Amino acid sequence: MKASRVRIQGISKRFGDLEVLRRIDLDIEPGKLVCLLGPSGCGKSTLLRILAGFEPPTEGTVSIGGRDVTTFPSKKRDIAMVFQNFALYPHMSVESNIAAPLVMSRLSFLRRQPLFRFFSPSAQKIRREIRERVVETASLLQIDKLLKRKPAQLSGGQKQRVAIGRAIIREPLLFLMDEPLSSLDAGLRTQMRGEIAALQKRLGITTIFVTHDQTEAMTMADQVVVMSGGVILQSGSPREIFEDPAHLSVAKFLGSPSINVLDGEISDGLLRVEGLSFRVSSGAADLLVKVGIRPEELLIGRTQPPDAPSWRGKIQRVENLGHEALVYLTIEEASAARLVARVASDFVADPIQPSDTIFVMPRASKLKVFKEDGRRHDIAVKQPPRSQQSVLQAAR
Amino acid sequence: MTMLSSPRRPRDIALREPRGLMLALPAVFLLVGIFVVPIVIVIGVSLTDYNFGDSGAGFVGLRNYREFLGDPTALQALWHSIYYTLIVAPLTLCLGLFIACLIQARERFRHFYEIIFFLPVTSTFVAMALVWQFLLHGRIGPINEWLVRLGLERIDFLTDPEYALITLSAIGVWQLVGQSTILFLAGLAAIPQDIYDAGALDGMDQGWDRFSTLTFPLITPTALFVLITTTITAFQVFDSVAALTKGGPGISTQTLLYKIYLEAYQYSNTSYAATLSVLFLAIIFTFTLFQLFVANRNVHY
Repeated sequence: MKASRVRIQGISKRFGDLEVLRRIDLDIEPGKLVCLLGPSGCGKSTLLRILAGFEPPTEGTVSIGGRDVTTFPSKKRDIAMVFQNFALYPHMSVESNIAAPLVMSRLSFLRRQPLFRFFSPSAQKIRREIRERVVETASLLQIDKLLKRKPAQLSGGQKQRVAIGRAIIREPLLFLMDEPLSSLDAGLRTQMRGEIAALQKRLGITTIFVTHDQTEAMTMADQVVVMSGGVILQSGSPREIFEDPAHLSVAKFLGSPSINVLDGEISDGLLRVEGLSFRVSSGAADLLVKVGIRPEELLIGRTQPPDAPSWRGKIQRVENLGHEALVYLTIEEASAARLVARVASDFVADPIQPSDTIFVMPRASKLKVFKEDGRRHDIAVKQPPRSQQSVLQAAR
Repeated sequence: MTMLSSPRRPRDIALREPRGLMLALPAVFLLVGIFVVPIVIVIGVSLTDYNFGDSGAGFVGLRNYREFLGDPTALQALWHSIYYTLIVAPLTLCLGLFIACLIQARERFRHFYEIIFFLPVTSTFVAMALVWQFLLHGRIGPINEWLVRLGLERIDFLTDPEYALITLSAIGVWQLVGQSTILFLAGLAAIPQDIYDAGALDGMDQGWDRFSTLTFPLITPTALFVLITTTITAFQVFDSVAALTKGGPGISTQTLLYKIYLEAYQYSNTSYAATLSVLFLAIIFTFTLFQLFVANRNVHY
């Protein structure tokens, strides 16, 4: 199988005064499934269109499999793409749709003209070979019964498979997908998510996948590239991105419910957050900071832990999701900041009432500290002296 | 009323709800009075020997229709209309699509070109005929000046029986091409960019490949519509004949509609004009039926 390295160097794109991409550098290992993740308008689709050759970059180079393809037209790049709305050729049968890339690349201009095939045995032979490949590809995707249909007669999931078939049939160096799951309904989306990831692993084709859906990114990708405002905020494995976000926006974008963000301050070697103090690694300069705490890193309990810092909170709302529960609460002490905690659902099985007072203890080592401009502040936050797990319900 | 149960056929509802029929009556009355009655009258008149100004008329059956079959000038007029249509409709279709593709490919000045090509449609032809008459004049026309300068012979575009109908056809294309260009532009704009992008990756990125595998198949519904509407319009040619040649020289540019006009208003042959009108209506009606039943079903996606 062909697996190729993709290297994006210093790509910028401006539309008039509008700068959509700013000096993007990205290196993609052969055979990886990479996900460009970001809110709409972050430039991820533009980057994909530049890779496909639909838009020229204002600056920078793109190389695929060691070739600099920056100035190549799309068809010379040896790439395939699945579009958001599939972009099947509506007037062609499923078979012709899947065959189209091979017909165009393997038959000469003269040989593909409609009448010519009757005069050329070699053209007929190539067409037979193409047909075999189409049937092979279609059965791989379980659409071999649909070959005679027109796209209008297919369901969303079937269209998706045809679009994938058309893309993989010529074994491209690079496979692009622009929000391919967004036009499917929820159940099908989950199913196709798994199928696409499995297919990608089987074929081993380097794949770049654009989405704004964090679940798709986390479940499918080998490498997640989080973009915002035309720059890459962070690139890494799904776990790295989630556990160790380099930017507050990355932390906010991943995880549901979203990470809790509180104002904090570093002074005299202590991190102070809403009335609590934690020890930080020595030598940290005094600074105003933002502190992120994931909902699952908050421990809550009915009694105050004697020697660990905890907030006194008031429950506003409890959402019981069955296997877990989300507890929305406000901190009583300082600015009445809102928090959400994710706890095991048996915790709320106790008669816990809105407006009950509880104690909230953040897991100090999991606190993520960001500078005011959103970048991660690289300091370690120390555990409180003794953890009080016995009086606190474990959060997960 | 228990209307929520099973859906009933409209006829059943009409029979059970006479009030509904009553409410529909004014509209039915107007439709019949404006569209159906005049046609019935024309058909009626075509079966008589009525001449304009006569105090009475006698029923003559199909005599007028037999007369048409034996009237070389009328058959000539019918042929001229067909000839004109056979030139104008295909040329308008191809030229309109060609111009639309050229305009579509432009990013700047698009609106400028759209307006330029649409101008003939908006202008009154009888006024524009003045310009054509001057341009094509055998003695003083600039086009003949150019022909002479190129070392060619002068052509009496509008007064030579050999050229007159072709000249009118060319003017007909000029009149109609704007309309078809605009329709094709709308059709082209409806093709999603994604399809062209997918085509670019698959190797159909420009020129004939893109046109023959993507653009043309996707534009066929528009093309059929344009073909049928221009055919109908071309078959109804009248104003350029009336303004430029008056059917002449001789009867070389008499079209069916102009012949009807002559019979009805110049010769006061009302019943014969009615006969030709029935024929004319029948032909247009056939085109319309074709559009309704064939073209609309021929959209293959």
